[in-house]
Amino acid sequence: MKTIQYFIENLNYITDLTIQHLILIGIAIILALIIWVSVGIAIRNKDKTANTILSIGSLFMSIPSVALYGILVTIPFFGLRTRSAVFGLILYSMIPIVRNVYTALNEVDPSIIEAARGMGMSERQILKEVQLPLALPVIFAGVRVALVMMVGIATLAVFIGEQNLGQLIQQGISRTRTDMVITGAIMVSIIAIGIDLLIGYLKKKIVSPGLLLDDNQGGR
Amino acid sequence: MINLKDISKTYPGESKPAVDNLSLEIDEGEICILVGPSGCGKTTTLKMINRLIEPSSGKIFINGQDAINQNPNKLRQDIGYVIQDIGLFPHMTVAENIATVPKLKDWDQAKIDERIDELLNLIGLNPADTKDKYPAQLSGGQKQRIGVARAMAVDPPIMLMDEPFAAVDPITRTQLQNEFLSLQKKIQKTICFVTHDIDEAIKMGDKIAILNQGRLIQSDSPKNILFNPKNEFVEDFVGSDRSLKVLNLIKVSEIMKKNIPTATTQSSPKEVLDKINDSRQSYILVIDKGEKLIGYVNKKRMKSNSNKNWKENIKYSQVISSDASLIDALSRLIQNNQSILPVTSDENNLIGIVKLKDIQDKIADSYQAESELEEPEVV
Repeated sequence: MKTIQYFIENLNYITDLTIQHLILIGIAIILALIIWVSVGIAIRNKDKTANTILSIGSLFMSIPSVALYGILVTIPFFGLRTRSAVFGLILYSMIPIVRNVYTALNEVDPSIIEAARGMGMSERQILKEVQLPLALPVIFAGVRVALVMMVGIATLAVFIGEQNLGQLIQQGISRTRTDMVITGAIMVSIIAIGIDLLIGYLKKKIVSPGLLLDDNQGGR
Repeated sequence: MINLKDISKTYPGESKPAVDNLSLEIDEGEICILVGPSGCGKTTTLKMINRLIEPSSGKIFINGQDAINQNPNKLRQDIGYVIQDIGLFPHMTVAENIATVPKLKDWDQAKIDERIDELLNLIGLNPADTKDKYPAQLSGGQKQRIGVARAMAVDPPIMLMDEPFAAVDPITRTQLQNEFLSLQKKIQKTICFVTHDIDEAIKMGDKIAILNQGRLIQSDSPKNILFNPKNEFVEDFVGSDRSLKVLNLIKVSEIMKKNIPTATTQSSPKEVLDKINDSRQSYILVIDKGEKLIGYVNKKRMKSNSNKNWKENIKYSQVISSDASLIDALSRLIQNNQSILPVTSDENNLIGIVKLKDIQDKIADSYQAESELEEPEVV
């Protein structure tokens, strides 16, 4: 009851924080996609480089978020607030995106690539028209993981001065206000579920029906 | 049309060449089969023609032009390529798959659409039903047909086929082979075809090139390969049942008997029995008004059941087309424990019969032919 009351009384404040939260994730995922998809494509034929890159990604993943933010704020360019927050999220999304792009591109059936080459497609055309469309379902899975993770980790950016739903949780804990903590937690969950649904919808729109059919029939 | 001159290929890190000084000429409109045990270099040779593999030395001329000096992608767009695993793009519809090379060549969409319909009709699939399907919705045989259609999309004069029918079940394979042979009669492509199956080679080839350890051992017509094997290797590879294999080369139409006695569905039971007696056989084939084959009735059943509607005595019989080889006819006879096989047209009209005995005679003939052919060799 208290939670609902809190929610109604602070609707504007909560809306603001939610928008802040979404903006932070939005910027982070756009930059992350540009960077990590390109990296995934660049390392697709280079097993050794790929191993190194993927180990670096796992390393980032293993640093606790609060510690990572703590390090980032000491770097002059990043400093407090948004730049550090965005950069931290980009680092965390490295592994799910790069790994899925790399694996998906390499798992394309070699006979399909051979047929494409045998018909006279250039390497660039093969990548754009064959490999990437075929890799899309797996890439989508990676982006989904990255986004849901971002929604959670973003709450910790409040420790470096970001204003988002994490604020409700952090302040609620320090002031032992359960209603605030619950409101924050519920809003974060709703965003996570919403993003999950959105990605599911986009996947249906973008991935070729030929591949989804394949999935329904139990793989290739 | 295709001229390979002293081509060799040594893969990096290997001392023995995969293809060793191979020269081969493939004439226009001819199916040339590269055959040999695994690792003999047949696929490497094939892939050097469209430069998926670059030869270490030697020259390749296609239509008189040196293939090595051409842009490899442009070269490949003018050579149809069919592989064992087909490699259809699963994210594209049948129409989009077929449109791949036309799009690379910047055809306009109207021309592409027209060509897709034409090709699908050619390979016996209904364009309206098939066009918008995805590969996952097709059977193995249909996929293989689409693979061939895709390779023919821009009507390339040359087609390379790497074990194209190896991944389907035996019944579908025979069907695809027959379809492809009748298609080839219409399209007259220059085809280089790789297989490890000597029976397929004999059936499909105008010319067979037998390879072993990267070298061309013998290249000749199927008949000469069977009866004039150049050395022991070819003899072993062809197998000891050469005379049986000759049956692959003979069409049903060459030995079938025409003008056979038949009964029609309008005949009375007595007429039917009379006809059986006249023909001195224990059965008679039954056709309808339009000459379509219905089946056969045998004398015993006709006699014991003569009072009833005699048409209930008609039994269904396996049939064969006149284009099929004698080996197909023989296996169908044996499988169904029949001693005769009606030959029908595409419209199921009865045009003749093949008897087991005639096939046996043909085998005996070929034994004789073999000894005649071999005698001068002994000298």
